[in-house]
Amino acid sequence: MSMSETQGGWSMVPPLPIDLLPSRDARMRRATRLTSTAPRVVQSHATERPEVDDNEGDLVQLVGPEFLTSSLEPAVGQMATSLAHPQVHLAQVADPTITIDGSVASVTIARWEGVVLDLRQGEGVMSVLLRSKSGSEPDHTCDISLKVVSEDDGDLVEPGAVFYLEQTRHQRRRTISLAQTLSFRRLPAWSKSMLDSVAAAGVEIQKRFKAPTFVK
Amino acid sequence: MIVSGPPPALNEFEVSLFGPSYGEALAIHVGGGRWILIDSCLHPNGQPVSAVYLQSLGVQPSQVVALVASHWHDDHVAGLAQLAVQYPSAELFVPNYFSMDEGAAYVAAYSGAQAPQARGTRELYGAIRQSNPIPTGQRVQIFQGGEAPGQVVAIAFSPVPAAWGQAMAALIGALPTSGEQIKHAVLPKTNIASIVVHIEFGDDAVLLGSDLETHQSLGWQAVVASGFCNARRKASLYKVAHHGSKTADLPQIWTDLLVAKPVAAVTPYVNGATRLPDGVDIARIKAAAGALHCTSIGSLKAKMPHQSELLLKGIGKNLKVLNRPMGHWQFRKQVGSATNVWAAAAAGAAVTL
Repeated sequence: MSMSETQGGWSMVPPLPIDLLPSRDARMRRATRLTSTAPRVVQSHATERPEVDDNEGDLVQLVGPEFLTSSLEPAVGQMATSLAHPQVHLAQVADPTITIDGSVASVTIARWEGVVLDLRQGEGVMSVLLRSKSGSEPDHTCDISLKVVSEDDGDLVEPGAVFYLEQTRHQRRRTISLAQTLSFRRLPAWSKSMLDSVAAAGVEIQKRFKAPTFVK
Repeated sequence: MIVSGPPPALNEFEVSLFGPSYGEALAIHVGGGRWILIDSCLHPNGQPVSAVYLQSLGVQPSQVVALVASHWHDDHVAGLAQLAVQYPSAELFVPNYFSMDEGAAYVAAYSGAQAPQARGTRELYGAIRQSNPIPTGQRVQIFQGGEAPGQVVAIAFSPVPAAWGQAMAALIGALPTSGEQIKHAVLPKTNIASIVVHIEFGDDAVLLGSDLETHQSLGWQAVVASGFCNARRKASLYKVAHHGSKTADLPQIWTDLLVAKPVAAVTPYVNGATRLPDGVDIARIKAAAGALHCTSIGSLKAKMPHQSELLLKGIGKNLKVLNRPMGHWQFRKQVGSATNVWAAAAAGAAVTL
């Protein structure tokens, strides 16, 4: 196990209690990436060997960082100012259909857009709303550990913040691994022209109000 | 998932409550074929559930006389702007502070035109743009009619002016400034400025508690301490405030504003670790009301690909699905009925706890 403990910033954590593919004689391990060089990658689950046919015992092939380079963070100035166009950011990641990179096949399991609803520092979690961006899954809520948020994104974590969670499955030879990338959305700053538009819109809607009638 | 059948008789009062695990809407027949809609959530077909129900009854758009946005949280306003379009003759009532400079600026800032937004502000902005809204505070009259036997009067019991100020202060703090990074619209934590509606009809009344919470002196404390509210007729039906939460309950609500053992109905709320009403809430409300009618109950198990669920559980906890099935509780009562009993009907996921 020593080979896997620190190479490339990876370390071993206890095995998952349930099978990814329970119909097979699967052996699973979970690995968590701790490196700060690509801090938005929060976790990967490895691995499952569909056919155990040799004497490899419990050795686990860890997912290397080269498989986890997708970034959801847009370039400065690229962010739309409306949620109406979230696909702009997601277009940068791997196509959800299987892509082949050498011996590695990757497939997107799910993409989620999240909103931080509440921040509970004492518990070390953020309560979030998750909306599927890849399918018809219904909205979910979850309390996500703050430990998975990168230091670079730390200043963004507050109620109302928007993030994207990309979940992928990678297969290399007979090793399957799961990974997910959590990336906070860094929005541009309010400009004077934007604020002027807001002020004008505020005046317009204020004109629509009528006086109330009170009961004596 | 909505109760089918004929519309209420002209002299029949009706309260219909809709809700999945995240969302709430009310449709009130105030007699004479006229309706008030309070808040909004979506039917699985994507339409506002109140509109779906009224269409099933054959109600014409002109029969909807008022549309009330009790507050602007996401779970109470989904489809609100659409309702404003569908019922253009209905008067729109919103909390007072949105008619003031800072409140209007806040709605405009988070309307979706400039910044990402909570659905609440987007829906509210859309509804206001479609209507001539009336700012609502304590003693504002929402409806008055006399065609059904006895006078029907719908009045806002809240918010009180001091609560506008507190709500406004929260909004002012969230108003954008030049150079500041754009953020999502943030909801105030405590809801002390929600519109509670009291409707008298014949010799009876209903109390619709929205999400108003308790406070040292505002919220429900201000309502129960108000001589004006205490003087109104006690209600025999209560839409329990804030999804049954203890943060929205006071003994005086039950003693001063409601008859003994009223009919109580609630919509649930699920958000991360928060699940309302919880077992303690249900026991407390049942002790006061005898029974609690809930619009939806069921599994909160995640509904997503297995591997996706596995990954999320690796970095978090309390993973729950939001959209339990929609349920509908319909309560009808003949105005002046000798039996003084509400006729209840349920559909979809609605249950009695």
